[in-house]
Order: sequence, then structure tokens, then C-alpha cells
Amino acid sequence: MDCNECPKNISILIDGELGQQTTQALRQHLVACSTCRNTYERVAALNESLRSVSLNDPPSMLAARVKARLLRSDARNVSPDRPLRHVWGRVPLLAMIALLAIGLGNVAGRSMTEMLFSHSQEPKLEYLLTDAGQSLFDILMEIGVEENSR
Amino acid sequence: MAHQHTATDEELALGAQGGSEQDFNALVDRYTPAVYRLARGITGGPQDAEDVVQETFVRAFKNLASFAPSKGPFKTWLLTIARNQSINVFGSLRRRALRFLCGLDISEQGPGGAEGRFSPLHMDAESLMALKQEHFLVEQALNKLPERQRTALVLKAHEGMNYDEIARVMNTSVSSVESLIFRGRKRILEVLKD
Repeated sequence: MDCNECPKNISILIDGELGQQTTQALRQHLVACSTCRNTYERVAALNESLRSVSLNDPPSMLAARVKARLLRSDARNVSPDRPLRHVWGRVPLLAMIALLAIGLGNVAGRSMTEMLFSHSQEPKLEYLLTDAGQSLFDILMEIGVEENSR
Repeated sequence: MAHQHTATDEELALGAQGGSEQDFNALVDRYTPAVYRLARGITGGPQDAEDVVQETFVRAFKNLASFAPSKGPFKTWLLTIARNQSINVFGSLRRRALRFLCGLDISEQGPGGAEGRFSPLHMDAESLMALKQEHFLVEQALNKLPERQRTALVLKAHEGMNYDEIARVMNTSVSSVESLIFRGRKRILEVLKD
């Protein structure tokens, strides 16, 4: 390990996060290099200062104030979200299924009304009509004429 | 009450998700100091830090359903919210200018303060003052860092988080955290040298 690699590795070593092999290489370098050894001591001293620097403990009643605020109605109205999302989350899926059903019905040549309200037992009037497109009245009149002619 | 003292964070969080007010209050008691320290480290001001603490726990309460132990520790989840709130506060005001102008109170911390760590009883008054002055300068230098470097250093030095946990809070990579901490320390040393 050369001196260029040392500063950052020293920082990581002090935090106890350096890998075993790199640690070994660094320690060997520190034994031989007074400059890097000096860097190590300065960073270690700084780390100790940083740990000791008082960022101040919070005011003694802060936790109590936080709890009091949570007790107030304006905070409690914002209650923890309950997991109702699983119901509403399925709405898009249901909508897609409905649209698919409509689409399939149309592809089969039948409208939704036909699919939902058609009754297969009812006689179909179109079967009584001739290909000439006669109306039902015409057909009945013809039947009557035929009867009269017999 | 005894249950809240011995329960793990995850047990308390699950209890709070189930509607237990005591469990959530226990989490407030447990983590107000950590949230405050992080907020103070990022925003630089005690009042802003208090505001961040309030907002953090309100948001945590509202979004409790989104916490899942399988995704990571509760502390990481909470400090992520705190960091985001701190950035919102930090970004809305001209903090750097205020921090230069505001003095820090280095008056007596009292016998129950930080004596255990940086104020050994055997130190004489002159050495003690020198030590306090050094810490004052380090804190000033820390406050001058860019927010991301400062956040990474605070989470490391004060919360004792490892790089992986810091990366989760900051929504970045481990290698990025390594660089942030390294550059932050380097910058502080340069400031102290000047």
C-alpha cells in the first residue's frame, strides 16, 4: 500500500469498517511510514473529539411536549393509516375485468343487452319471415288467402 | 410500564401499530435524544431541532403502517424520517450565515454533563478550558461542512451507526458514506489547521 491510498483507508479503519486484508496492509505501512502514522493519530484524535462534542442533549421536557402534541386532537385526527388500501387497490382490476367482458361479448357479435336479457326459449319471429322480407301482416294475409282458396 | 422498558424497538413498534399509545410513547422517550442530536447536527439550531423532533414523531405516528422489521431496524427508519425533516428545515433558511453569527454556549455543563468522556476529574482548570475550546472549534468546523458530510459524521460519531445503517438513512451507498466521512474529516482538519 502506498501513501496515496492511506488517508481514506485510515478513516475507514478508525470506523472499524476496513476489510481484513486491507487492514493488514495498512498496518504494515503505518509501521514503516511516520507521515501516515501521524495522519492516523490526527484522525483518531479528531474522531474522539467528534464523539465528545456536545450536540447537546435535548431539553428535558421535549419528549413530554412531543407526547402532548400527539394527544391533541389535531395530531390524533391524523391517525395511522389503516390497511383498507387492499380493497380500493382492486378497483382498477375489477374495472379491467368488466371491460374485458364487454369486449369479449362484442367480439362474439352479441351486445351486453343480448347477453344479459336474451331468452333462448322464446320463438324468434325472424324464423317466420321469408327471405323476401315480408312483414308478419303480409304472411298472415297470405295464410288467410290460402285458407279461403281451399 | 415494565414491558416498555424491556421491549425491543420492533416489539414496541408493532404494539404501536396495533394501537398501543404506551408503546409509541415509549419509543418517543427512547429516541427523542437521538432524533434531536441528528436534527441539531444538520440544522445547527436548537429551536429548529425541536421542531424537527416534533414533526418526526408526528410523521412516524401517521406512517407507522409503513414500518416493517423485515426492511430494517426501527431506529434506521425513524432517523431517515428525522433526516428528511431536518433537510426540509435546513434548506428553507439561510443557515450557514446564522451559524457563523450565533455563538455556542460553552459555559459549564454541570457535574452530570459530559465529564465522563472528555472532562476527566484529574484535569486542571487550564487543561479543561483548552479541551473545551478545542471541542468548540471542532463543533464550529463541523457546522461548516456540507449537509451530507455533516450528517454522515453525526450518525457515525454520535449514534454509533455502521456504514450500512448510515447508507440506509441517507438513501445512498456504503462507498458514498465512506467518502462522505473521509472528506468531512479531512475538511475539518484543514479548518482546524488554519
